[in-house]
Amino acid sequence: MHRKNLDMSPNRTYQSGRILAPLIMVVLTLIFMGAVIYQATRTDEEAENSAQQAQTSSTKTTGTAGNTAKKDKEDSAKSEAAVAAEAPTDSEAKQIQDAILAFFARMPADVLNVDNPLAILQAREELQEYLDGLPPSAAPILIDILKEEADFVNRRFLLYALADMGTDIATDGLLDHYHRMAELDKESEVGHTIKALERVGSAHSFDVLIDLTERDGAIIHRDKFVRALGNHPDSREALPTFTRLMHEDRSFKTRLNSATAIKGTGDTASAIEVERALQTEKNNYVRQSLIGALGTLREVNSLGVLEEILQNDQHHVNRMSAVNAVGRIGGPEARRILEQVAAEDKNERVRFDAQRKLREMDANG
Amino acid sequence: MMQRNKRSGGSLFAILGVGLLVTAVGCNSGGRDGTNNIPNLVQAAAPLDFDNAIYRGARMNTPRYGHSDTTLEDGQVLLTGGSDERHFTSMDNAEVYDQTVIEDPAPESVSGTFLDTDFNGDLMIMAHGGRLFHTATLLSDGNVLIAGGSPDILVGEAIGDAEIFDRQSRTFNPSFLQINNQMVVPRFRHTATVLASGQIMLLGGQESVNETIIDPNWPPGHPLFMVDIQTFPSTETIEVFNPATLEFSLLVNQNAVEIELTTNQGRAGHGLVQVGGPDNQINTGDDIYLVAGGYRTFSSLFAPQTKFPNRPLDTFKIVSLEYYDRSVGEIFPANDVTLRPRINRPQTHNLGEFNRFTPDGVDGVTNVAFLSQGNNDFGDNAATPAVSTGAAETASSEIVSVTFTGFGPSNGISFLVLDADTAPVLFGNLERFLSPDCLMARTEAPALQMPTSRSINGEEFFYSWIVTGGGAAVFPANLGTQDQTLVSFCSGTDVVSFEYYDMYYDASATTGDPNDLLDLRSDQHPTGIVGSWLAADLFPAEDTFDNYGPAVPDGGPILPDATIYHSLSQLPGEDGILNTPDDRVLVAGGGDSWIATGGEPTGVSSLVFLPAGAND
Repeated sequence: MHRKNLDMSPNRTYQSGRILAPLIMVVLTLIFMGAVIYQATRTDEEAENSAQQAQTSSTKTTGTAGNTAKKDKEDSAKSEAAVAAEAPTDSEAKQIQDAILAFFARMPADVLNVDNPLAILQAREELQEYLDGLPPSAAPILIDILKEEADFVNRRFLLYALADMGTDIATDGLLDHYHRMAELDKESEVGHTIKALERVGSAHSFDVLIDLTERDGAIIHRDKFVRALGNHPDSREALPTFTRLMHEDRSFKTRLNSATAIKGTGDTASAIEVERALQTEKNNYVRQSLIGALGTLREVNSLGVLEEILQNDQHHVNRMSAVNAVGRIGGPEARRILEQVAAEDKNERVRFDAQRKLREMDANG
Repeated sequence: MMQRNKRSGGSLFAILGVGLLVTAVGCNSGGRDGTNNIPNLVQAAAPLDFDNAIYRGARMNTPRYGHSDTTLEDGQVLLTGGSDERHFTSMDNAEVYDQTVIEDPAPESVSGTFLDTDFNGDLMIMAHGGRLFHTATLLSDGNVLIAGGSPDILVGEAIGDAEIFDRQSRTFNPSFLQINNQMVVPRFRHTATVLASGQIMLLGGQESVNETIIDPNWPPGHPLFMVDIQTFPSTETIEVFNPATLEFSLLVNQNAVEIELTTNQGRAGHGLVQVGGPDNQINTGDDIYLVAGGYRTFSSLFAPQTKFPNRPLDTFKIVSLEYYDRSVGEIFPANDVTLRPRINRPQTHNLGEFNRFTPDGVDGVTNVAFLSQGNNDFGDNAATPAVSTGAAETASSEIVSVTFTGFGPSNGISFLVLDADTAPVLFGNLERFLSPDCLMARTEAPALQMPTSRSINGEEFFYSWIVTGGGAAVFPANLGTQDQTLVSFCSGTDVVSFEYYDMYYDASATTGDPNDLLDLRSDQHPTGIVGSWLAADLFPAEDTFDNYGPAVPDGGPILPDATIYHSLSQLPGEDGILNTPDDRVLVAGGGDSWIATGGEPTGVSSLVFLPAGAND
């Protein structure tokens, strides 16, 4: 019997199972390579998204020129029991407390009466270094100081130190502080506490933020919780929440931040939900955020929706957003759309932006 | 008497009525013409029940103080930079206040929101980092130039990279608006003024200089014998930004020679006000720019090493006046003019901003400058309080009347200064709380020139008044046995109150007839303007002129917190048009302590203030 494409060399023996196994290996290899490529693409996108989403104001209290680096949670994560087992002794706790209070004493509030203001700068830097060196088990000490500390700058050092400790106890301490500050209507400190909760980056902080987001009693800060969740390492787990809020929340800021959060997760499957939200959203700022999300998610299938916006949306800034989104998606269809906008849009700035995008596409090949 | 005028309903009618009123009044020539007489309902503010009242505003995304504020062409307000940590750190983000959007839950002012995202939904972040003590200047194309400043109040250098906020995309430093060079002299605490040419003049301020000092206490060769330090001396330099070329260059005269301030070592923290010049019209080629107040430092080697105010050993308050004559492109000292020292945010205004004529038709209000706010001392002299005390000297405001003979340099320019010494009646017109310690004169508080109108002889007369609120009253307090002078922050109701300066209201006259300008008219002061500061507190009962009804004895608009380093920004009123009498004031941000260089951001991050008469 003649068999095609078989190696009939004398040293090989054909057996049906032996051709199937290599075939399976090839298929698995191709799947693996595809996954690697896909992940690499997502990593690039996520990095870009993270760069955008991680843009925050320079309000962290560090006392140093640069921000404190976030600890590697996976490397340093220990079980809460292990952390508790390392709790300082009473005498060590007293030492820590005394040291921190001594730093506070070197940073008086009445700054204009201080003879040497540069000494305050030095104290801030040294305090930050000291806090960076504390073990996570010191969190209860910081929480106790936080409850009693009268000076908001000092409290801010403690907030971010607790965030960097990253333990559940630290997170709970931040949560308590949020409630106290919300009760006192201290908008600035509420904002910093939520940022600290975001910075913790742990599973427990995620749960806390989700809970706060859902709670009607905290609705006034919901937009901030959503933003914090969007910047959280586990933000993808909050996709259902983001999606729901993007569609339903009565606060436009919450809807806006939800769209931005979806963008940040890089979940391209969410593009269809974003498109659906655009069908009913009337607030122009939210529309711009939704359009921006489509551009970042880079789903080619979204070009139809974007083209419709470019043809029908009366607000020229929305059309500017759409031009930007189309440009980011790229490709021949995007080029066609941009060329039409560049020639025909009634707004000079929209035409200008389309022309710029086309030039960028040309430059990038 | 100021009253809380209750609305009678009929919002749309009121809006149209205002529009018709503006049409009837017209916009008097010579002042700023800011209306097109058609209500802009897109930018219209929500109706509110009372004027001469404050309402809680929207929540800022990042409460701050020491920020810049710029009212954009459509009435939105851009806030950039600032700090929430005693000026030890600065913010690189920005917010835009849009009063046409309603938050949920809505604030007490019914509408308005602070937005901190751009047209892609990303945060609005300045490209060159956080800033304090910077300027943000509205350009003719509606964009905003962000220039100068410093990253902190301590040792950070002056920032040389300027950037443009693109109004439409709400982004900073887009590629097509990138500035081609750095500032010639990176500076902070400077002034930025739009010239008639559209260029921006950045004048004075402080710069960063690296110096090497020798400490003779150590022997040569010892590491501490020679030490590198950074100082922040004041500067005489002036530069301009050209929006057409997106470049900075030093200001030159008609012979292309660089010109500088005449004050030795320049000045910082000063005020600059543009007056109309011989033609009595603002924004023409003969305008004069008055430079007043502020302080200078020693030369760079001995200049301050931080940017704190109130360092008595290394700064000098300036009492001289100098001016930039645009027609010849030179700066001259105003000879024989001595002003009151004024540091820590002096305020300067052209009283002819909206109308160059007095109610009885005398031209020249555009050549009357009003100087106010600030304090006159660094607290280094216990015998001289930072803010004047005494019944005759409160508020220490000054009027500078500029006239021209037509002969001699700068068209024969001449200055007349009215202050507590030369015009006691100006200060007799001041209303005061009875508290002897808390004065109404204030420092580190903005003063905003707002349009208003008054019925005079049966006709509506359109002009401007000056509104201020918050700030600090700074005065030294001896510590008894300790030979040390402190300054303390007065948190009494005076400083949390609002005041109006009305140039046509004579609080000392029994009739309050605005036509009854006091007999101060002369060749050097043709308008005879004096005016009065009025407390927005509904007291005392003798305030009986137009627009203010019977006293309502429940207190006036009082800030919920002592507020300093905040901003006051003009907002359109119900007609949605800027520069009409129904305009409102956004009180944004602020800290609670001067002694703590701002202290904690105030609990309530924004308010909306309706000046008296805004609901008429």
